[in-house]
Amino acid sequence: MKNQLSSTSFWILSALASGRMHGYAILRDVERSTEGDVTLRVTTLYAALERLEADDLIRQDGEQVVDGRARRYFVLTDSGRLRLQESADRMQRAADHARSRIRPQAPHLAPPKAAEA
Amino acid sequence: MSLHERYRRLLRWYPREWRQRNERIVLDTFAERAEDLGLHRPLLGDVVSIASHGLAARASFRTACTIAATAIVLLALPHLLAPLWPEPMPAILEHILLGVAVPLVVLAAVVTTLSHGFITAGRACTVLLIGIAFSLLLRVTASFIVATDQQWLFSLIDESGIQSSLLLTAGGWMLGSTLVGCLLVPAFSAKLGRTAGTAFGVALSIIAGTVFPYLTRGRPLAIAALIVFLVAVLSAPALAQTHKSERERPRRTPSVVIFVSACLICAGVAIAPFLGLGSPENPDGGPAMEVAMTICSAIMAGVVGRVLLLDGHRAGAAGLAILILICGIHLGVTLFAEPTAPGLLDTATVVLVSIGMALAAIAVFARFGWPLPIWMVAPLALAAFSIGASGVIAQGLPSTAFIWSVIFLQYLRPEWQLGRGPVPGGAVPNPLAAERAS
Repeated sequence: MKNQLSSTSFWILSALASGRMHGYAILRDVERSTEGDVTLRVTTLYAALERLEADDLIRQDGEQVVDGRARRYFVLTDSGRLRLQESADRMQRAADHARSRIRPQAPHLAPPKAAEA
Repeated sequence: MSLHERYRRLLRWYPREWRQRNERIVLDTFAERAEDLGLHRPLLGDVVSIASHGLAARASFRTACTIAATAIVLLALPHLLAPLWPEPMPAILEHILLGVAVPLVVLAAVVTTLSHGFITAGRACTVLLIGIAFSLLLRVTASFIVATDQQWLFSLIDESGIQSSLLLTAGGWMLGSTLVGCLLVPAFSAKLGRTAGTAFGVALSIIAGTVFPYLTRGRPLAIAALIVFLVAVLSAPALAQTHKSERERPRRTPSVVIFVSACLICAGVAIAPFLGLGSPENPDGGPAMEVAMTICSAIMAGVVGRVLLLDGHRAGAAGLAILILICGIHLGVTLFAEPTAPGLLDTATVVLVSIGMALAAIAVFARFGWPLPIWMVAPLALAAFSIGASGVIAQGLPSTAFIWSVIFLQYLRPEWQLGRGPVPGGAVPNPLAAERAS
């Protein structure tokens, strides 16, 4: 319980799990991945990036100027990848537990995607 | 004004060091986002977010200590000025000073927990607003009651004053408990685990709730208890972060547990009379209380003095040794003898306590290359003098615990050092930093 990732940290690490990214790309990736459910402010993003870097879950990977705009890139560290994996496993177990409790006799209670399948 | 310039002005909420590292990157990120969204001015949510995160970035333990030191001076001022006032000091003046000091106490506690990453900026802002709002409500209520007492306004309270006491006591308890509950329980839970963290946070909440109402009475012991409580709050992050290392700590490393325990005992002894453990003849608890507080004060001085001595800082250790000596004399007089010349003894005590405190505080900072800003030297010296001027050593020593804790905590965590840090090639290096590095 002590080391659970916050929602913001989880989605930032998830974005970086696909590779090296700069700040704004992380912001757009999080918004796209959550279908707009999670929208980070720029200040919140960079505050979270500082915390994650201080916790050694990510690290800076250089800066570049692209189309006149300065960009700072970040990558996931090994410990960050491990923490993300642990968090995902925990969420998976919780989701599996919930699904196992949904009664097969009451299909109207099943989630729509399961019904379509 | 261009959008870029608007954002640049907003980023002034952040400290200069942060802007030097990040301003260009963050501004270009804002610009890219504004282009995608078609913005012509910053969103209101962005403005609020920039302000709160910027202030959070300015939060540091050094800032918290500075704020707390200022609060201590304001709390001590009425007692310093009282002997110089031709008439009894107007209650409204005391309430005004308390009205400024209490929000500073709230701010110091919030900045402390924020600087150590125990809470997020949003939560810190929320707690700060709640704490400040409560303290302002208390001040307005107290001022109103003072005004009715002075008959500036029509009287709404009865002759016994029960209504005013209940109102102020309830309000003060809510302030203290809310502050500590919102801040420390989640912080402790994050670091100590849910059970231990909740228990520790709740215990401190109860103490806070007991101490805070007596601020409005302006009693020296209550103020001393508040300051000791503040010490405990400021020491709490050290305790939370070092509790696991307590078992493995080297012998020379000071024990945070002992130090904080001594502070809490002083607070408990100070407020014990208000819990009915004193007597009408000895409202301050009598000799037993005074002995307990003197012993705990000596323990605190000893813990810090030992570190100074091991570091080779004899001047600072000598200052604290003077205080321990005074504790011993006072203990002996209290237990075994009546002073033959009480006026002379009190005067000598006042002078020696003041000198010892000022010497220990200023000499340590100067010796170890942590330059103390000149504007902080004056308040510290003033606090030392005012505490000595209170005239009773057992009441004065716990009040100085804050200054000792500032010295002590800088040894414990090098990143908490006031000033610019040790002078390279000059001052004695911090042994604790060396131990951690190895």
